[in-house]
Amino acid sequence: MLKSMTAITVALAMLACAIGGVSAARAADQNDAAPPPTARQVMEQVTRDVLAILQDHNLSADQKRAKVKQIAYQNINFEVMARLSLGRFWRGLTDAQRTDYQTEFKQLITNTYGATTDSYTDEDVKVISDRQEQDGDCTVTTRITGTKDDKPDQEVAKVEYRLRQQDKQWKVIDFTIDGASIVANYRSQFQEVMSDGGIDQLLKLLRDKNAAHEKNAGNGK
Amino acid sequence: MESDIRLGNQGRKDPAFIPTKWRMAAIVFAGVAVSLCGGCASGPPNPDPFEKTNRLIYKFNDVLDRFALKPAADVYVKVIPRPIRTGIGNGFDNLIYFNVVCNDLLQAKWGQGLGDFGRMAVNSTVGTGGIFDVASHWHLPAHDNDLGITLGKWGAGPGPYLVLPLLGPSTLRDAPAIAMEYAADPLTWLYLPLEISAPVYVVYIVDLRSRFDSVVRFRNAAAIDPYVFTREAYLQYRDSKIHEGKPATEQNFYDEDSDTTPAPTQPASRQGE
Repeated sequence: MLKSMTAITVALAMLACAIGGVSAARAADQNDAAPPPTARQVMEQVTRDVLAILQDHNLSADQKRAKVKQIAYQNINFEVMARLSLGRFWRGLTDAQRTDYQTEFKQLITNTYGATTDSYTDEDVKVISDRQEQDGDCTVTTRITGTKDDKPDQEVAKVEYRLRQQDKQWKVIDFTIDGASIVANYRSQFQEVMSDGGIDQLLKLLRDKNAAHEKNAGNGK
Repeated sequence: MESDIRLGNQGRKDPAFIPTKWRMAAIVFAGVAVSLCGGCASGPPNPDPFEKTNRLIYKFNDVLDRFALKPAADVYVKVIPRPIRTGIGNGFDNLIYFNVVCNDLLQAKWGQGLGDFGRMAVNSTVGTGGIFDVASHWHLPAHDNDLGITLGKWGAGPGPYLVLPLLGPSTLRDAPAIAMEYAADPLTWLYLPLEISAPVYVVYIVDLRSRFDSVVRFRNAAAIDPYVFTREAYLQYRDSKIHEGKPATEQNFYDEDSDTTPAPTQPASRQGE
């Protein structure tokens, strides 16, 4: 149990990274009038590109993080992810609240995976399957293997990416690491906060969380 | 039923009085029973009915972790070189591995059970007491199995979420696994004197905590409410263990227009956004 939980972290680092790579692929694709890549192709390209960034010894940790972040921004649909994470409470928000919430949510996700890119230790990632969901989404499953407790080629985690197509682009709307969906997790967290103190409370918590992260990052350097 | 009540109220001498009272008691009782058990039948039951108590224990565990376990694990990682830590971790994994074998068999996974038994045998002998994980190189990979998974496969739901003192997240279904793990642990039956067994258990716990560190760090970065984060991650993770990776999200989970939960409307089209 504990071992698998550890895997979750590595997996998260990887997924953060993995998402990164797509942008390069897309840029290349848009040059000619090739058909847009499928969700699986997107994730395959992502994995390749991100592994390349992570394994590049000429890049500092900060540079890696920045590169990964840049790619992630182009390939995660933060708007949908934020909305799904809030669930039924989304409807009750004003436009201003929605904007605030989405900004803070995006920052939270960025901080979270940004911090985990540092813990990459030569894991390998392979796309192993994809499946079409009933609502048109596509779920791509990747398998992360690595040296775990000094044993090579151990499965560290299975990460599923759910992608949704918008304007012919597949973008990630959820990550499921060893069966645990990050959107589902946030939805439960936010639900309790919203029931207790409403959107103001949630926004405050998100702001505090992001501010604390900024402060820690500043001290860490 | 209404007429019965009226009867009971006006006619003290009415022979129907007592039966009515009994009948009402029965109805109340049935009502309570239904509401208690009703959770299983109608609507999603609250997975965490003991949240208040759970949060208290969570806090206790958290403080204990912050001031004892985490510092100890940090020292452990700093002082003991990685290969030795790996050996220690392997050794403990092997010690408690009999529990995995038992649960393989309880789930009628004969092949996996045989492999896991072989794994334990190889590592205990060739791997000098489990310190070297030879079996993984011999295509006998480690599996994760316990009584909670067995019970889940037999059809038991998780029941209420529980946070156990010192032991952390669990459920009513998963808690007995701890007893079984203890019973299947050879250390339990060696009856070692306390001055040996106590340090062994301390190292065991500190070693576990050190392997767990990255997860805790991730939780601290990601969670708005670490208590809920831990609960959701635990429940989902356990569920996926039992269903072997099949997604368990409800039908409209990814529907942006399902804000009107729980009404299961037809899948709304997203294109119109």
